[in-house]
Amino acid sequence: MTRTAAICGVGYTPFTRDSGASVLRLAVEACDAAVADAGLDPADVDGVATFSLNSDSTPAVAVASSLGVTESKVLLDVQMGGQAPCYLTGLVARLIECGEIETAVVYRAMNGRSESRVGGMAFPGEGALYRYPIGYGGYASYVAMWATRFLHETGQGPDDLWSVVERQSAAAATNPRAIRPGGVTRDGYFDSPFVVEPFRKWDCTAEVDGACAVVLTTLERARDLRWQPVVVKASAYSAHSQSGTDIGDHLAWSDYSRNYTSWLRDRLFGAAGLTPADIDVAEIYDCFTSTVLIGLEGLGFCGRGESGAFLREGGPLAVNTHGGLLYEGYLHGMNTVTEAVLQLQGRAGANQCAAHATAVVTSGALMDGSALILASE
Amino acid sequence: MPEPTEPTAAARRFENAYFADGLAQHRLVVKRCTACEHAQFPALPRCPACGSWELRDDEIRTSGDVYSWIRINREELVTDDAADLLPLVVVTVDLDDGVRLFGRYAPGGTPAIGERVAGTFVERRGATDLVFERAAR
Ligand SMILES: [Zn+2]
Repeated sequence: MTRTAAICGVGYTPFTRDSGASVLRLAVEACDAAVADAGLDPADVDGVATFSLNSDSTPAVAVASSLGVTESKVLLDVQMGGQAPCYLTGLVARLIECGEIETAVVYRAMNGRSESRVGGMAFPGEGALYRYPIGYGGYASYVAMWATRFLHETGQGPDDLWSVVERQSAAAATNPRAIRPGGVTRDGYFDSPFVVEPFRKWDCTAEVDGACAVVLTTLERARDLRWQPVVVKASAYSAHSQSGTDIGDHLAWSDYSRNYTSWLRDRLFGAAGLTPADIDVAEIYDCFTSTVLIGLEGLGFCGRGESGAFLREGGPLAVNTHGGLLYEGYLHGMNTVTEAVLQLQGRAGANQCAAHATAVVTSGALMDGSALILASE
Repeated sequence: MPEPTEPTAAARRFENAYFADGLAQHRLVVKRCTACEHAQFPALPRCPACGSWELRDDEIRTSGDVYSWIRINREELVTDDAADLLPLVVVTVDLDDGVRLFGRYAPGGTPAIGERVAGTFVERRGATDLVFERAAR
């Protein structure tokens, strides 16, 4: 008998600028909330998965112990940034499908504002000495380097970055979780100075303290739980040829105008038996505005060079309905997955989309990353 | 931002030591595969194109074309010892000898994609930086 995995609950802590709590406390609060949201008990959990960057989080074993998990059959700690949420969710779904585990929690927890700010983080590795000695530091700088090339090659520009800000900051205005008030005006955008050209502050995500989590179990079990099951239809990760030697090493990557979304697209949609036209909701990883444009084009939601216009036209595809990481807050993309789940379950509040049967979610900005196709049952 | 001291120091000791050593001598050096002539930064322990472990130091030209560029305006985005360089323009250059490299761009200038550049070696705080500026085509 084939088993199918489904997401059955989500949990959040508030997103703040100074949590005043340990990362472990945040993690446990979010995981406990997710388990309760599903209508499950911590004793049902037998797998915990998470990710961290430069030791900025708390390990899965600590969360399993604090939650009161009776026996963990899988604990996964991966050293990754925003490439991880879809990747881990997909891996855990496969583990459930093959019978290794029954029910698992995937979380991201961090004091990303008050303690470990990724914006000022140096990434060790082989590539480090080609960047830091000349002052080329900061993840924003690397994504900006790609953005300059992407906009040039695709014939786009500042107006196309603004289109991301316009749409997502409007969504944030009606999202009670959002750390930024939203509602950025065109003048407010263009009058703000460059942080790292071509990015202004409104193109850059807002780091936060907080945690969020999803719970997965078998579809069969999920049918008896509180919410409509969200089936993990497909998952894919890609680190294409010469993805570098650390998270910031893009020296040997040949094409800054295409990221992992271009490389995993066919596998992702093929595995789900769907096409971009079948998708209602796209939650595209957006540490910076340019990654939304690159992602929409890479996944084939629009043609090359058409992503800015695609957003302005406001077609049927819902994009970054919570305001994205840019405006809700930067939980390294775990909150991109949870937002997709809330949309598919019809409980996204003021920002609920009318059509919400299928969603694509992505995780990651540059060389490597992952994606999911989710569907409500 | 903090310096990635330990890992950088480690990387500098082994396969990648040749790079900073070369800059200190005002030479741009790449590890090139003796079997297939492939070269890339950073140096990997063996050639990713053909699998050969036989790599040689190869001094290459600093000339190339700007592939992309940025201008960093904020202190938290540069390493601690580069704050006095702000605003800092960094270019990604496709060098004529077949490798891509990051470098500083001449202070005060604004590069363009496709622009012809050449590098000069500039001493700064005990190390040598490669600084690119516009060159004749
Ligand atoms: Zn070779």
